[in-house]
Amino acid sequence: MNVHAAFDIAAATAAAAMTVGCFFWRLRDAAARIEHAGAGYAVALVAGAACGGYAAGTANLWLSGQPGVARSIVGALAGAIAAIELYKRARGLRGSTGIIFVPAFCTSVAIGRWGCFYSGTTDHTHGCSTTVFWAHDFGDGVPRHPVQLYESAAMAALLVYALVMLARRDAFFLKNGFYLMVLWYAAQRFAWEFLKPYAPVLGPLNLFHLICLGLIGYAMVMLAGSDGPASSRPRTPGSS
Amino acid sequence: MRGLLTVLTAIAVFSLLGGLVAKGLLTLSWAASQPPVAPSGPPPAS
Repeated sequence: MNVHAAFDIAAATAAAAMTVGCFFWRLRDAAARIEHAGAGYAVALVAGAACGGYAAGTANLWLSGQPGVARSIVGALAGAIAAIELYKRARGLRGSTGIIFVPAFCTSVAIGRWGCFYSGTTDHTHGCSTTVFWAHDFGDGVPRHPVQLYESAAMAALLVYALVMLARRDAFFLKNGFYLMVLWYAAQRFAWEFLKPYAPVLGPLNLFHLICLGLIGYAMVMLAGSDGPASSRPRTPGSS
Repeated sequence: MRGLLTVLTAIAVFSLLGGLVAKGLLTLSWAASQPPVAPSGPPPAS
């Protein structure tokens, strides 16, 4: 088993454990909303994430002159959001259903990016060459930005923030936590993309920059349309 | 609990299987793009 697969398994296991823990701790209501959405919700989520992830990852690879197949987490996030928003519209569902995925997503990226870091240049997630003292040699003899670890640290910080907000039962976060996560992920990823050797497609911006801008716009629109804290809703029995 | 199981299923299918499949394909495509290595050692006797 290669190191990336080991970290993928560790990330998925930790994300699942975090989800179970947060469900019993604070997010029973959030899971109830997904239960109400039906089994098609999970199908739309996985299908959208898979299509978006592979399409964006592979397209970026080809634009950068590298033949092959790749998956991108930012593409997966965008694809999953598009699929779920379409599914919710078709089913007449309103309101955010994503808060229960926030701890899992942060955990998964914070751990999973270490697998990318240890995979060398074959993973195509390394940074540009640099002279900073913390630069890392990914196996080609060139000191590069360890952008995977920048992203890991950013999402670990968001995980801490999310857990604090959940501990406080922060009403705004319970209602809009998913949009805040999308905003944070896209903003920090947008910054790190300037440190990667991907091909630009619009001025200095690469494909992932454009996807990040779309995600930032989505999060801003959804946050602007927020009509109040989650605590204004009727609470289901057994919620804490 | 069905909502939780839905979430866990989505995480497992995407994170685990999706990740492993992607890395497998990426590794195969990378290996296929490498130049062939010439065989070493003496030529076979004829």
